[in-house]
Amino acid sequence: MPQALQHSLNVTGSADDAARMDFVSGLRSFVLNDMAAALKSRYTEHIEPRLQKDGVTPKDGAEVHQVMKGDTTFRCYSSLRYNAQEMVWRSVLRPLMEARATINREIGKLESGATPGGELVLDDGLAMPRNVSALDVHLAPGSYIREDPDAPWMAGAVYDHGLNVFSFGLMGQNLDDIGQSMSQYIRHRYPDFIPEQVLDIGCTIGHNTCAWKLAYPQATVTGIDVAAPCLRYAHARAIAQGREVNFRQMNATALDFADNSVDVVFSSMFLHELSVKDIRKVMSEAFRVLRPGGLMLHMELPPNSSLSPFDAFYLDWDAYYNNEPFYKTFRDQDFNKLRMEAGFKEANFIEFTTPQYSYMQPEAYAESVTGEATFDSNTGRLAEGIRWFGFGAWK
Amino acid sequence: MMEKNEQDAVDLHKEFSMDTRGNRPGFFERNETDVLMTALLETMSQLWITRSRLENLENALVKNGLLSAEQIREAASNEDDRAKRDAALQNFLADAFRATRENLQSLDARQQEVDRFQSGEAE
Repeated sequence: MPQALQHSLNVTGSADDAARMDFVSGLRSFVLNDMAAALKSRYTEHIEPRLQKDGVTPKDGAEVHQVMKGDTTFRCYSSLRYNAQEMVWRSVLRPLMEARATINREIGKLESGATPGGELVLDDGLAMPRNVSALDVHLAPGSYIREDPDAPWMAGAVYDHGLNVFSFGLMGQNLDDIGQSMSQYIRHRYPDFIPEQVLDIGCTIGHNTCAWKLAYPQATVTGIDVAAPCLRYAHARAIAQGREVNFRQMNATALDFADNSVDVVFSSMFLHELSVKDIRKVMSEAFRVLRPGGLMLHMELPPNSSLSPFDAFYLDWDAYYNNEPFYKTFRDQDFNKLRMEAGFKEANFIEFTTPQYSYMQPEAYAESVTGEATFDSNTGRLAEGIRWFGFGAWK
Repeated sequence: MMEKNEQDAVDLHKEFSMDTRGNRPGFFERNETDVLMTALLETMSQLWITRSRLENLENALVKNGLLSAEQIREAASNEDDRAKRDAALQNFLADAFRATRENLQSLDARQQEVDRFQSGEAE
């Protein structure tokens, strides 16, 4: 069940709306836990043995996908998951549209209030990249860039509330567990590293950007994204949480930051939305703007080379059925090669998995921090027992 | 926390589309099954909403001493506000049968479309 977002832009809606959100969240939990387990059993206990009997061994996720397309369990799982995804957005769109005037008033109050906010700089002339303009990413109507003249923050609010329903309580109190886990991992593992400038690229509503300000209060923290509606919302959302964070409309493939000017370039669940061509540009830009000794860090899905064919197939689902066409092509890449092509040295690579910071006692989390990246079927997969995967490099 | 009483009433089906752009994948051999699955899930969600609200209401009535559990069991349904309920029913049906308005795409066709999209920007 979704927890109420812990900031003043939270909209609960009517009793109908709240019950509907509970249902959708519960449906997603059922599909991603129970039905996913049934799907795996179906493959390992029935389909794989049958293939082996015929002398066939799928070597990657694409081959498992080909086999599973005709299977009833996969079809039911996929149908329920696709419908649940649509229902996520539908469950929050209605109450948010109804609350437009109220949210406008609240944002006005926040932006003129006593809590200092960071800068909000928008660029009306910025060209929208095809990966957010040509399709409704995550099946969300209007994608990240839907402009509503009466509610210029709407796409951000839809993302915030939708993600809350989508994640069935697994993303932390304000959906910031990824940012918390990644920044706290760095803080614990590298205590001598004190960044002054932190840049979160592809930040959407800044939910993970704000976590860096918590981990490093003295740092100037900036989130960038191409989507103005998300940034407008992110700005107000950060003020509502008492975080002084800057937001700028910018494409991560062409950063408006000087060479050697940033200590951390961070992203979360961002690279897999980009073409390989753009990923290369993003990493080159990260290398350019980082100061010597700075850190590029991406929280992402694990590479397909680290997964079994079935687990790779399982994660590939989003590429084909959730309007995230690069979800698979990104994970097919050699992450080492991408980093080296950008200029980073292999000796300076980092790679790790981490448990969820938000759900642990600080002492237990500190003990869990190691340099190891251990992959299993819970890595990067939104389900109980999830571990987040981070990789990057020091400049 | 924002309360319902501050909200503006809007007819969302008239104001904007809540549908996702693009083709919808047909997961089953017959497209009718996909359509029915969507309708089934919407119906299930409405059933869950109804059950949740009834439970909340009955608990409140009993807790506040307005009715006993026995009286609730005996209460007859109220038929007031018919027009409002009819309009809500139309929206409910539009939600449940939205998949009938879209063309379904075979999984092979979808994979080819995604592959084309990927290859167009891969290099």
